Amino acid sequence: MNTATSAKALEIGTRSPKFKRRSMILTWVLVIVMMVWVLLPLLWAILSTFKTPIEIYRVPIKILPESFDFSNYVRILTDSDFPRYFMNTVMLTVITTVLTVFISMWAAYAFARMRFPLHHMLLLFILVPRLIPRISVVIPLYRMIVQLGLLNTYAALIITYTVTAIPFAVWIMSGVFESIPREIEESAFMDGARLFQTLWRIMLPIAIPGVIAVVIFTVRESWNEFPFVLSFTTSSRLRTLPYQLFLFRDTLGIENWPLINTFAIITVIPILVAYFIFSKHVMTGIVQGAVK
Amino acid sequence: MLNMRKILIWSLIASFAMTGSVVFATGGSEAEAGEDEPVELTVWFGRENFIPDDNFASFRAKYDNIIVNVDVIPLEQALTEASTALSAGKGPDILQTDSRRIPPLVQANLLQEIEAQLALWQKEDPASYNNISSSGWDHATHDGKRYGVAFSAGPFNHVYRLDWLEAAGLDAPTTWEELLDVARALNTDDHIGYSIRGANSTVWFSSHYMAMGGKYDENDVIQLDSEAGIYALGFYQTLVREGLVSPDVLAWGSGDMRAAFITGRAAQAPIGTNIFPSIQEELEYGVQWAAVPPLKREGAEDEYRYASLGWPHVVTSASEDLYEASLVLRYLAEHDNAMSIALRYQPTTIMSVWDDPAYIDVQPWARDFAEPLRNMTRTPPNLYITDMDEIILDALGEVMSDMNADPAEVAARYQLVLNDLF
Amino acid sequence: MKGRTISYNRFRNLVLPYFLVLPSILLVCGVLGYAIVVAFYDSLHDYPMLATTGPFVGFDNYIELFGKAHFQNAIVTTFVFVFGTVIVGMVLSLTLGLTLYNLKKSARIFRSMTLMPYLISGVAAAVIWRFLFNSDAGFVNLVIQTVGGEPVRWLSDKTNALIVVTMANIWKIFPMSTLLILAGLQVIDPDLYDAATIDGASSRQTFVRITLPLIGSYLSTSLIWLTFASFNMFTIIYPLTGGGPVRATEVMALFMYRLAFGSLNFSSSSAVMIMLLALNVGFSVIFIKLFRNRV
Repeated sequence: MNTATSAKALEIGTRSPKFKRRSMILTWVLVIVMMVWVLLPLLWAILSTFKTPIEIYRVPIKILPESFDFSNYVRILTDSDFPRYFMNTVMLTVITTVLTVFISMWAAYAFARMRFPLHHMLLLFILVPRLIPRISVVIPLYRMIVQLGLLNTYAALIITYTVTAIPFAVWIMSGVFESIPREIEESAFMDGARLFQTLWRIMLPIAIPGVIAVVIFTVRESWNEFPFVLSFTTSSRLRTLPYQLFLFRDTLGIENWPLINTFAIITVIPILVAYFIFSKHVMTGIVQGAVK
Repeated sequence: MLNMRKILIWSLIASFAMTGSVVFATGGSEAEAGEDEPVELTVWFGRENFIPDDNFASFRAKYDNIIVNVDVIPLEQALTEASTALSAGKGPDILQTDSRRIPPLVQANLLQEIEAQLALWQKEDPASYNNISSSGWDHATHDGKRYGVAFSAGPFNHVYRLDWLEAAGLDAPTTWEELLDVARALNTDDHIGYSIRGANSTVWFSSHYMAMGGKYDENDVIQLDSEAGIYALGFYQTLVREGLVSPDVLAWGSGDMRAAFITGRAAQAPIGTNIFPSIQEELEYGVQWAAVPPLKREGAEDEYRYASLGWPHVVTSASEDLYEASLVLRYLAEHDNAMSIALRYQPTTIMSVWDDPAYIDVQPWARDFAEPLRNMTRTPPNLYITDMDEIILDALGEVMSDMNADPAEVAARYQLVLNDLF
Repeated sequence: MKGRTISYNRFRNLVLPYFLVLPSILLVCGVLGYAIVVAFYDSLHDYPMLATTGPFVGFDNYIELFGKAHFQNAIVTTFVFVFGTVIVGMVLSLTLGLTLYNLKKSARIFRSMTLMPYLISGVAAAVIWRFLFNSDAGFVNLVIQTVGGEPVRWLSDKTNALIVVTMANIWKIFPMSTLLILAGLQVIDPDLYDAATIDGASSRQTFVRITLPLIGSYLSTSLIWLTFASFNMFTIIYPLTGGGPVRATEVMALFMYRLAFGSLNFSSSSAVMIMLLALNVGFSVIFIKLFRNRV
């Protein structure tokens, strides 16, 4: 499975029908192997959610559960605190995403369309800080949040989530704006439209795939965020789904993997649904956005 | 169209406002508490499981002038979180920690001793005060002063498959050598002789070491380079060398170790009392499995110690309302509250629970353990506990992964590193 | 009318860009940049346990770290982990990217599925992988035993554990680089391939001469992504192996976490963070330069 073979598979329609069929078979074999690699771990985890905690550890193991038992799902979904953790996560995700898109689209537009002194340096100022490991900014940021009096507040989480999402959003959206032909907005300016109007009514609609890509990735980051919520909040009032997943691991003497996996699967489902609805746009967004 | 523009302008203003709030905001302006206002206390628990079933309902009913906020901060996180929060004046009034980590907290001036409040407690409510075992006080003591109380303290015990031993005509082991013999006899294709975790936590090792007669020096540093230390390292190496433990042992955590015993894949294991209810769900106590305190080492019976870990609630330097804080401790010391935790989690230091028929009914082993649990020794705390743990784990990892390593040589080498900490 | 346009343009050119960029810059630099500055300041001081004040010591923390055997081990482990991920991840990304490109329209569902590992949280991914490679109850050993092989010790063997951790990391982060490459391929004008084939170029030649150079910037972006995501990877390794067995999977990010949250030494942990940042920036610059010259 190396790149040369795939390169061979690349040229469909230019060789003999026999070659074409062979390369098509190779392509399908490759895609199936890759999908097994991508999906197998997930399927294994999903199957485990129907097992009992002890069943997981039994030897020899069985692939299928002894019986399809939904009690883990029932147990988590009927937990009296689950709605609160869920709503916390949803709220933080929505606010973060809206703020990220609104704040970064201006910068993205400027970087895409305008030439100004310090252009590159300012872009680096936005992109480079994103290169540090999230876990490592926790301690310095903790001190800042305490000084701002924001410990144990949604604001602390919204701010930190948003600033970590902005760099990627600026990067993708400025690529998308750049890929839009200049003539379109120039004709709008000729008609006397203001910059804000142009950006909102002309650029943004065309850039929708890029915006959706940004939204999906921001949602993903906020939805799964763990180090910040672990460090900046102590109150169970503010707890999110990933934090609860983490606390779950320690409540039992032996890890209750089925329950943990069930929780993990439940938290992943909303993201996957959102992604599958918009996956076409996400792809287009990356195609346009990643040119830089 | 006009709306659009409005939205846009507002969103830009919002962007700036948010930016401004981050860059320019100054300290929070919380309303200062007036004189007649109720007292507010924040209590951190290290695990959800340490919170009584009552969850302060009766406390709130009794003291309507005290507001209690209950939060769960995982034990692993508590030290870092508490220190940053306390140094900013926003910390909890009471926090729960692993008793081995009391010295760093005291050293950093994050705790305050509450001897005066405890004396008042003894005077006002002697029954509740005297109901706490010595171990409960011991785990919250540093340099002779008490900073709180431990309501939960538990040991690791030796658990074994009674039915398998009987079927094989073996006696229950009383020494570590006998344990090895039993492990050899019961080590088959279907199950291992002894279940231990890898070199990734020191507390099980310390329990073994202390039972083997291991000592700590005046700085509370483990003495690997001693008869007991070398014996303990050699014991772990023998288990791996002879294949008496899982071939995967180095990757095993506590869950793997316990699960192996619970699912009938191990004949013996060192398991905490808190896990006994889970064992009981699968196996019957006194019939299929049995438990005793850790075994003794031949020739070192007199130095034997039954190691315990404790999770005390300690009062922080931020707390101004010490009397109210002591009321929270008294609440946690109540028989019913302590029992609700003991029934599902760690053993309690509230002695009346151990005689409660309702408790013994649910935990049949309680009767056998009530006496030994009164004679536990606190696993020594240390200012440099993490560094010490890492060195011990390095030594343990070496003997468990390299069968040519000489335990005596390893012990001597790492002892020098340990002594260098001080 | 004309006058207004000119002044409007002047305003647009001079002030407006900064005005537009300002919120993002202030937020990112005010928060993340601030954290970096504070960390750098901390790394030049010697703080006692749990403290955030102490004497200035220059680069002593860095020098001291390099002298520690465990840190040297962490550096070596990090590089094996990162380059293993980058090399294998790049091969897989190119393979899957080209394959998906060939499938054209029918690839949509596969394309969507590809991104799934990236969307799930690190803790969840680690949980899943721990399962797969459990010696007793793991799927991989089940398969090996079914086909008649001996069960392999995965997470308890030093080398195998590093391999498993690297594979889990690749699984988690390669979808992103695959999509980046696929994005690059879709931008290439198909006529170029036709022209090359007419000229009689072999498939290998086409790939090396046309495909690779044209997707150069996408390749460098993919490489940067794989590199920095791996250098920073913490959320998979910690729950999967905790750095073990016997420090075999203790990468720098994990080492830093241990210093900060275990040993409570905030100045040395900051020094490790600054080094990670320097490595990330350094490799990003190298990859950008490398591919810019080619294109």
